[in-house]
Amino acid sequence: MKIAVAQINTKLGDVEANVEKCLQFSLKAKEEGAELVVFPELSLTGYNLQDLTFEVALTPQSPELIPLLEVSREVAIVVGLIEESPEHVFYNSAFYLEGGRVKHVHRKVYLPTYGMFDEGRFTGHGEEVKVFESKLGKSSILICEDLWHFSTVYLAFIQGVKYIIALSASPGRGYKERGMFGNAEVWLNMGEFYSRLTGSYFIYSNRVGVEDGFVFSGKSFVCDPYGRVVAQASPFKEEILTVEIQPALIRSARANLPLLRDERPLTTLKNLRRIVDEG
Amino acid sequence: MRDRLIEELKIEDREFIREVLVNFIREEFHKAGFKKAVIGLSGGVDSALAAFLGALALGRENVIGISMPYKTSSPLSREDARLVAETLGIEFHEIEITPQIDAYYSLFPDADPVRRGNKMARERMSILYDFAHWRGALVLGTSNKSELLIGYSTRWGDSAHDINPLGDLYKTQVWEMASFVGVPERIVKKKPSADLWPGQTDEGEIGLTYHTLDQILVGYVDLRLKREDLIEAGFEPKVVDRVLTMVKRSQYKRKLPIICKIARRTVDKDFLYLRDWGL
Repeated sequence: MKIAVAQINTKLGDVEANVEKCLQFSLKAKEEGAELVVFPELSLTGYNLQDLTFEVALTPQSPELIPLLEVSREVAIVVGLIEESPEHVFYNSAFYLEGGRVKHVHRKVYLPTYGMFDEGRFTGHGEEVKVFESKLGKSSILICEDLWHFSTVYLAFIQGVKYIIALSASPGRGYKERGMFGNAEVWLNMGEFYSRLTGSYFIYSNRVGVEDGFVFSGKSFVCDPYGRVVAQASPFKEEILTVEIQPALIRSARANLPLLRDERPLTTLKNLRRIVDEG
Repeated sequence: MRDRLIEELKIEDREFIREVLVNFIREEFHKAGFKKAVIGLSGGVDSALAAFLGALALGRENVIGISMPYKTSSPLSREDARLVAETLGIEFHEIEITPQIDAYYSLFPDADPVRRGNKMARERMSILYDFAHWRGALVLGTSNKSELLIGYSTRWGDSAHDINPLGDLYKTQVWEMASFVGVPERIVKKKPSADLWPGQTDEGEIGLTYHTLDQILVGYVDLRLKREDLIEAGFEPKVVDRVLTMVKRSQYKRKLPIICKIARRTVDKDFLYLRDWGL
């Protein structure tokens, strides 16, 4: 089975233009034989939305999504957008579209609000990390800062995740690496580390392009369950990475390193309770 | 700690950073609907680097270099401005600003050099924007991070431009990048001078070398070190205080005019959109 990672640029605040771009990339992914295509964080809106947050928000029923829902009958799609809840809380979310329906929603749990980031000012935080059945199998979607908190990956892990789908719009910073920004190197480290320790595929879709001098760092990649980088995109260009997924490798990795079997969530829970109770 | 500061300033992969800056210029210009840049060439290293990056990003046929000497400007500055344009093969104009400056100061013959220097910087800005309108171009900026942070610029003069590729490079990093992209060595090596009056040098006027200044700034700004940490690193307390005072006192230069809030939403306060809104 093939999957595609679509590394794209977006137009800030222009949902229609971004839907059109995602549509074109989805069709291309389908042509290349992919069953699933993963777009970056906020791929339908652009990243530094600030007050635009309230002007670009969508719901699973929004007509703007129809073109993508139609294509999702042929290729499943993960896209990022601002979701407006029935209570009018705005979330930085990712939708999983398959068979013409929104089948899973992940709301970003950790909202960076420090330094150059100001997400907590505009969006509410999600409360759940779930595993769902994608076309690939047991999958979890996590968004950018979620991954910098290993608790989210742990929660996916103990639910038996096999495919960690990571979306980001990571602004480049740091000039101490070769051929990429410092943050891109950290993402690569995370992908290698998390995939190895969870015995899962780690599918990372990051943005390219510039918003007011924030240069998104690209270098999207896929890691296999042995922590090996099997495909990697460039730092600046829009492109599609198509990767043949080998489920047998998940079995192989977990037979060799049975961390999931030996994991003790109740011990973790007991400790968490104690730590919380002790204040 | 001193070694750590020196290390922090080092750009590991200059080719990558050149690509980042070139991509930044190209994307910000093109998505705003411009393909031409106007740039003031002083004969110094900052404007030379900006011109080199501009030519790489937009093509040499799309960069217009303008040298705007006053009668006291050093002949070497004039020559070096021309040298940059000739090396790159870009369109070049030398426009004397002596007539208009002298006409104005015939009303104020006792005006001091700083006042005259500021007026000249704003006259040059006015010419650059005149060309920008005439030729359908944006003004490419040449302010580096060191001068932005200590306010070593004329407000609305050399600090006024549209897109600035140098604003996150300290002066010592500008030297490093300029030499890498092929700015003629004699321009990289010469003593930096605003050339507002004969014999003026930046380091003489600022009162310390760019190497010392940049180490203190990178410590304070990038690493968020405290005054005491910097003194501990071996800088004299009066030098540290001088730099920190310059940073604080020049904050107004880095901001747009402030507006008094009386309504629910106010342009400079809670009307938050990037400039790249919809681009």
